[in-house]
Amino acid sequence: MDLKLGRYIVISQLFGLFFSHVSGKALRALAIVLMVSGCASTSQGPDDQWAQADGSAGASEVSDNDPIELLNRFVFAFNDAVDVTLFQPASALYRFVLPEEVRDSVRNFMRNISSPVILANDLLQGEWERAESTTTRFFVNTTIGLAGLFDVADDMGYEYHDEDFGQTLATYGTGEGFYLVLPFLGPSNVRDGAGLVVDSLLDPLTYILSSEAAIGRRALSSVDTRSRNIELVEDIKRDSIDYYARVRSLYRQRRESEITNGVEEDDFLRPGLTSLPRENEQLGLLVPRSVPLSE
Amino acid sequence: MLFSKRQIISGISAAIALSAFVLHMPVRTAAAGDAGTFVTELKDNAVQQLTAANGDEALKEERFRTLLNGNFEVEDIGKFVIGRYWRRTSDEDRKAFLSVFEDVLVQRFLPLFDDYATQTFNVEAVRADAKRPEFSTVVSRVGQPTGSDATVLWRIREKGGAFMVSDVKAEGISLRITYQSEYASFLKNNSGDVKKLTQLLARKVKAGAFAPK
Repeated sequence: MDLKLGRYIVISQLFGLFFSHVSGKALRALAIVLMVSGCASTSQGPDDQWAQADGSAGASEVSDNDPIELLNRFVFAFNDAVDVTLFQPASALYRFVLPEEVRDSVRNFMRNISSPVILANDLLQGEWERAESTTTRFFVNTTIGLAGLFDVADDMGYEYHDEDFGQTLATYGTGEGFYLVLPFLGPSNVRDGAGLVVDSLLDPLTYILSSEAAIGRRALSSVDTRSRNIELVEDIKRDSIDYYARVRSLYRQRRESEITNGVEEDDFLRPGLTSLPRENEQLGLLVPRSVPLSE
Repeated sequence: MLFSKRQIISGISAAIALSAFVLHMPVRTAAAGDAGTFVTELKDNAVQQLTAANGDEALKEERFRTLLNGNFEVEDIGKFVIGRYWRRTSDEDRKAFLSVFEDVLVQRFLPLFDDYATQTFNVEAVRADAKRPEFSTVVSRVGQPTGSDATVLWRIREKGGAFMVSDVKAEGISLRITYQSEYASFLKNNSGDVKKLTQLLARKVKAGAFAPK
């Protein structure tokens, strides 16, 4: 697909994560759902999908894996309505009023306070180098970067990456479970939905911030992300013939790509070229790392 | 004696080991850099032809259409995105769909190739598909005007020494899979009527909906 289209799965972050205070009950319920349905399903690598896509694997269609489509479509329409009436205008205003430097600082700050969650998942995945990078970023940006407002670590070669418990579960072999559209949170699946809950429990701020502050944090983060994707969302809406199905497919493909870093173990380099793409390059794109697309 | 027994034995085993290695991937070695070269040349060729059109949009489109048909598996992709509904579709409707689908691809991809004129484009690696030797994945990085690079993967099929683009994946999003899941969903909700899909796509093409803005 085109470059911009692949860049973000916007909708998944449209409304931010309002999971600031999750009750133990909800967590247990989700854990059970995860065990029942998540583990039963299969996980596919990007090239397995590609094998299906060129017909060489025998199968002719990639499954929707969407048994509760009717309900999902309803929630999706609700989210879209909230977006059109609230988030899209708020994001446009945010982008119009604040200069780019300020908006970048907002993003830097939000990323910095997410460091503990990213670090926890780096460690849970055994990604020691990335864990080290996350730790360095946190200390450098919190001190020299003035409480995270400036991403000084990036200039030192410690690039931002995102990580979440949904991905951690995937690396443990947990299947995605069926597709799920969460109110306000957007596209997800059983595994990633449970991952959101665990991530919020892993986040020290969950226990420190008041409800208002937690919601404010998520709302600001959402508006910032959304403001970087205004044209992209318009593009996707305009050119799709089934917006819901398009977003569902984009979400699934992006997640697969993030989990496997876009490289299959089975692949080997053709002679003549010596380097694989950097391990990290397909990651960290869910939250855009570039400046806004419109500029 | 010219060679000692030991030298002969080690020489022979080295030869066996080498031939085993060579035999193991003969085709792959031959196809090696070629898929990467193919993508680079395709991009250069497109940029050159589109630039030479000097802003004449009709000429640009005509040239790109020729390039697309010569280097992309348009029909195969078209068949794939219709999925299981293809078999139930009449020849006439299939033809009509493929024709409109080609328009969709032209509208979607022409601007991207057009942009390559002002962007850096580097082939970074060519990966072989271990299970399906006729396929290679060409890894390219495209410099964006915004400063950050995008990774674009080209799935290339080799057939009788010729290369064709089978799919394109930008930042993890595949052309085939995206269109197929969307079209399948539309067809499922419209009793598998490919004609309806064709009509809708034709309307959208006319409105220029597929061109990224």
